[in-house]
Amino acid sequence: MSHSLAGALALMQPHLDPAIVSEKVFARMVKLACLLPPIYWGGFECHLGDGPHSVDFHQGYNQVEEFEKFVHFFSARLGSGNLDIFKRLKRFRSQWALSGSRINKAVDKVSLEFDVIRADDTTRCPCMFLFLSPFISLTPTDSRLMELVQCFVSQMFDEATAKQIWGSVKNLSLITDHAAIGYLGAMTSREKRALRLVVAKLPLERLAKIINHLSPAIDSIQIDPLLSKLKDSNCAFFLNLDILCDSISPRIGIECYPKSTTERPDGWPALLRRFQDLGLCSKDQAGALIQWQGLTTPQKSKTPWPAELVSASLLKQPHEFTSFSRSLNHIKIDFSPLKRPKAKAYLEFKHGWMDLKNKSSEGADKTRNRERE
Amino acid sequence: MRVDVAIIGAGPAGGMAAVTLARSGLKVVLLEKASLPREKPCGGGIPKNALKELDWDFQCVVEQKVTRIRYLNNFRMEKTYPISKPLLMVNRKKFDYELICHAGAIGKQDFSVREGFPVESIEERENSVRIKGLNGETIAADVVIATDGANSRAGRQIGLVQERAKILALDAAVEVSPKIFEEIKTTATFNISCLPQGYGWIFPKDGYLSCGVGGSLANKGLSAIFDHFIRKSFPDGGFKVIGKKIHPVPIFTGRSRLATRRLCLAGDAARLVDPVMGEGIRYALQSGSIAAKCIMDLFCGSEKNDSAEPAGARETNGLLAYSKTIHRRIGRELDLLYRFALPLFWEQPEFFYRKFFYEGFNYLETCRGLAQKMGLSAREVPHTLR
Repeated sequence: MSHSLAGALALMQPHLDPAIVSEKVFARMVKLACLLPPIYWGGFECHLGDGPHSVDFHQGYNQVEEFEKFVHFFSARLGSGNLDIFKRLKRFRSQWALSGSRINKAVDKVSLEFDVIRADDTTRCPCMFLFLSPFISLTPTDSRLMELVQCFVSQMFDEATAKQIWGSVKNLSLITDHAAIGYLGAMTSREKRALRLVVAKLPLERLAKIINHLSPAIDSIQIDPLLSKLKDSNCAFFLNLDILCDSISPRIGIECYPKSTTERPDGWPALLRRFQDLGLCSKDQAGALIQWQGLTTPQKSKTPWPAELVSASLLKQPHEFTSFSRSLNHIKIDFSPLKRPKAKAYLEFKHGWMDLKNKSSEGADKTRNRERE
Repeated sequence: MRVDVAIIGAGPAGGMAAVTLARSGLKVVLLEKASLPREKPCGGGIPKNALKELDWDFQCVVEQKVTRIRYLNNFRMEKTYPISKPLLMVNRKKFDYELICHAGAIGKQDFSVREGFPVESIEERENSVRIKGLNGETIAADVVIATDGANSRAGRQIGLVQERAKILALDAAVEVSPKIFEEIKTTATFNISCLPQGYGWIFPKDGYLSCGVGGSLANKGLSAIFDHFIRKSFPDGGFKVIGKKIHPVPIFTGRSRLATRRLCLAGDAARLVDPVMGEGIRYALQSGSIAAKCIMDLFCGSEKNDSAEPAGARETNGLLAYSKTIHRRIGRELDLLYRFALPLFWEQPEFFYRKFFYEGFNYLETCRGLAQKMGLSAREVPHTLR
């Protein structure tokens, strides 16, 4: 028990099957979570299929105040040896808080991605993602995106890198009608710094063409059958592009979000069966991902409940009580030249106040991307 | 030597089990590693809800009757409450010995005590439990109640005790001037958060004070913390500290297996301790009594326990029903404290103090209310949130 995110993470452990998060990796995550404040929106990026199952850890911030709490907490825990990281994070915080700034106007929420393998290496800045609301359209006449990107890269990268990435973005010829940017990322923890652009509203048929155009080295023999298998899956697809200093990265990702329908409120079982057929995910992993989804309540949990939530419970109405929703946000397929495609699952947990009167959960059930619908 | 029941440990759980079994006609032996009466570091306050277990006059070991409780939050926000039913202060050496003497008086020739008998090994067999002492002597018992404290050697050897969470407490006798003693001799003081994730106490005894500090293992240098606590509690000086002793206090961390067919754990060995305040005497007395009643039910079938098993099943399962009974009568309550009160006490001590000590809400009742609010059935948690 500690006054950090580790308390909430302990509540999640019984639901994380070793097929997706091993005990060893979980222990590393706990170490990392001790450095993060008790803000109860988090998640895991879990590698599926064969091979080493590394995990990245996310924490999300709905408001600038939460992000500020993170910066203070993280810097207090790490000490003064990481000034550069905190300078960048604080610069960003100022822009987000600044009324009328491009970031303030466009950004709905923010999440940070921490590399669990390098949990002890705190000299790296976590990757940062900005979720936009509404999405910003990718049309040459709309300058909002370029203004936002310019502002973001200048906050998150050193001057030279920011200048180079900005140059690559300006030359990006992927301007497609009806597409839009759903979120942006600063991939600051990687050797090759990059800006992540996540393009929404692209029909599946155009994805193969775009991937071929941007990364000809990716074998179309691999792409075509995979995409045709997903064709009638009733999913929304988002394209991940990483803009490097001098080019667009040949590694390209496609995020899959199943849409819920009246006949099939949970689209995950069917989609995961397709992933199993494609060899991107094992049966055990698919089972573990389905099992992950649900609600953690104090009644069901045997682990101590986070203190902040106990004290807040004492002040809430009798019909409201504390709970964590656990959901599967999306699965991403990564295409890399000369390599087999790989899949990663994005699991999410979020605290909400269950309202028995209205039979809903504030926050808890609203965690999936609303925009993907 | 062959007995029906062997009790390991002469603390409140062992003593209470002995008292209860003494009326049964079973042949009982109590094994204690030290010579009796033996010293026991402990605050020695008997909570009023523990008194129902003690149905004989034990006033001869009561050293002081406390009628006021004084709470402080790290030497601030003082609040003193009068209490209607006095809190009895005992010296654990005398109190524990009184239980054994009372058992001896009832049990007569069926009850014996082997003091100076440290247990070297314990082995559960099909038809008995073999207890081997360090002196090489072996005692065979049909069943065993292990009440050998926080580090329960018997529990570890039999595989019931794994790695366990603990807190550390240090206490000592403190002599103060007659004037100061007179002022506080009917007041028990709890100084919450005078150390991280813990508290300090001052309990009046017979002409001296039992003082101590206890908290999570994160507290380094408990002796220095104790010295600071005493100096600050008696700023005018004139005190004398006698015999500081550190001892572990187990923390209840949820339901666990407490019995095999022929052996059960009670008291601190079963981790039956309030995880917030570290109070264990009440649960030791209660669990010792429950263990004894389960055994009487097993042998005689005359006592009712919660298992409601037919006689044949009772023989097959032995003491396995004990875990269930303990969980129903004690574990649920401690589980609520572990899951709701302890995080609050450790992480938001200011809030905890204000609500439960300064404003006077009972934290167990509040946890019951929270649990009810969170969906547990009303039968399990009959009280509502205040």
